[in-house]
Amino acid sequence: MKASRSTPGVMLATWAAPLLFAVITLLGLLSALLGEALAWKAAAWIALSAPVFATIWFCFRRQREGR
Amino acid sequence: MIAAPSLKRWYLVHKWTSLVCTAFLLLTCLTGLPLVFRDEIDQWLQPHHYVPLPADTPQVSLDRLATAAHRLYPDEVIASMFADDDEPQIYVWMAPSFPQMQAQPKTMHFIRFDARTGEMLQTSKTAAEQPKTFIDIMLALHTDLFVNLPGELFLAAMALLFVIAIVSGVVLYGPFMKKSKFGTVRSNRSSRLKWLDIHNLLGITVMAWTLVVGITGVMNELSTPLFALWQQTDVKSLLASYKQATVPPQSALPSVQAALQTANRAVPGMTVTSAVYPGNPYGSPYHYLFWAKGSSTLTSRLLTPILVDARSGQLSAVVGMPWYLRALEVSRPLHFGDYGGLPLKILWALLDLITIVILVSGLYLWIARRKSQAARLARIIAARQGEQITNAASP
Repeated sequence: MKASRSTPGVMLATWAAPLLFAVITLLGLLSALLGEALAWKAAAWIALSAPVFATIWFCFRRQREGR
Repeated sequence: MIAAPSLKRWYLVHKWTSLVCTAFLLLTCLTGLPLVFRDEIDQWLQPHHYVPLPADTPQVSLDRLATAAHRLYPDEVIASMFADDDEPQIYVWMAPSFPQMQAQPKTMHFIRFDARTGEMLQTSKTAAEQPKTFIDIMLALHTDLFVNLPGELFLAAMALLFVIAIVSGVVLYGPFMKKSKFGTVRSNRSSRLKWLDIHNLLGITVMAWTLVVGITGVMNELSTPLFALWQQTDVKSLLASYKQATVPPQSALPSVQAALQTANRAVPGMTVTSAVYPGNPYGSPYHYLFWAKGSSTLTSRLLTPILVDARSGQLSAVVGMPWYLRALEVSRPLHFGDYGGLPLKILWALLDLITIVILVSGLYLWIARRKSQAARLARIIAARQGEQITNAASP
């Protein structure tokens, strides 16, 4: 990707949330795989809940506002 | 910022890879849903009951099980033994003979024993006679469409297209979202825009999970050729020195229990879960092959083969696994989601459902776009025709 017209600010605004969800997801996947204690498993449950509940929340929030 | 022609190319890549794989991916996602809860469904449909005994009751001698199995089926061979780690049970798999097993794997059947008392719990019909369970059907639709290797390779190709569709979708996300805030769903305008926003939002939010499950799906579908590659290379050279060795018939083999103890001593800290008999096409002609696993979440998925000589009963080798089979082993839990208890399985199912919404909305967007393009084309044609009529009418 060439960084000609888009400023770092625009890039950051577009990609901050997606990258955050990606990192949280990957940490969650690894946490349950590499950690043995219940705390590691629980961390994975919380981490993987983030993208799931974010999508549900954004979909339904906007639909209500639109009406 | 991507240049316009390159953007158009990415769009075409996204469109075509998605269109080709969507139907199969939908099937895979739908059948994957019950497969996530496979253990729970199996336990629910066919509950196993055991006599309560102290947890530290030692395991029954495999020799006793071998004798019992041969007494039940005197004309058959034992193919392998498998000790379940979730339940106190040992499966003894048998076949009419090894050549027949290789030609027709469905001639195999098992006897299930209590791992502590040695009591016989169940004898199965052969795989050919056994009616297919719900999970069997889901698994076949998910992994090979009932046609074994060709089906596996075909679905591997579909999974690869899915991965390319995700990557191209991520590339397109930036230009599409330049003017909108994350999470924007324009629900007050056309239905197409609303679903475009939902498709983009869902796709980008769960991209890490879909990529991981897509890539590990490709890996899992390649397990047959990967194991064949290993057998043709490392295993072949390992067994080369044993060529011409004569192995006694099954009745005169050294004790399988003693061989198990030899294998156990070779891999301290690991647990041997299965014994593959000499001559089994999935083992060695000259050895008992034992598979051992570690005790942690990760190492319990990493299997180590141990070879014990079928003439002397002595340890022959603890075999190192090549990197591509290690990668395959790690990719299994990351595809199945079965390594973090029931909550992880529920999240896996929810992410699977979100993926279904992404697939269906993508398909809807393609149809809606075609319709709107067709309508636009019709308007342009109508306008042109109008112009021509006006031109023809004017002197």
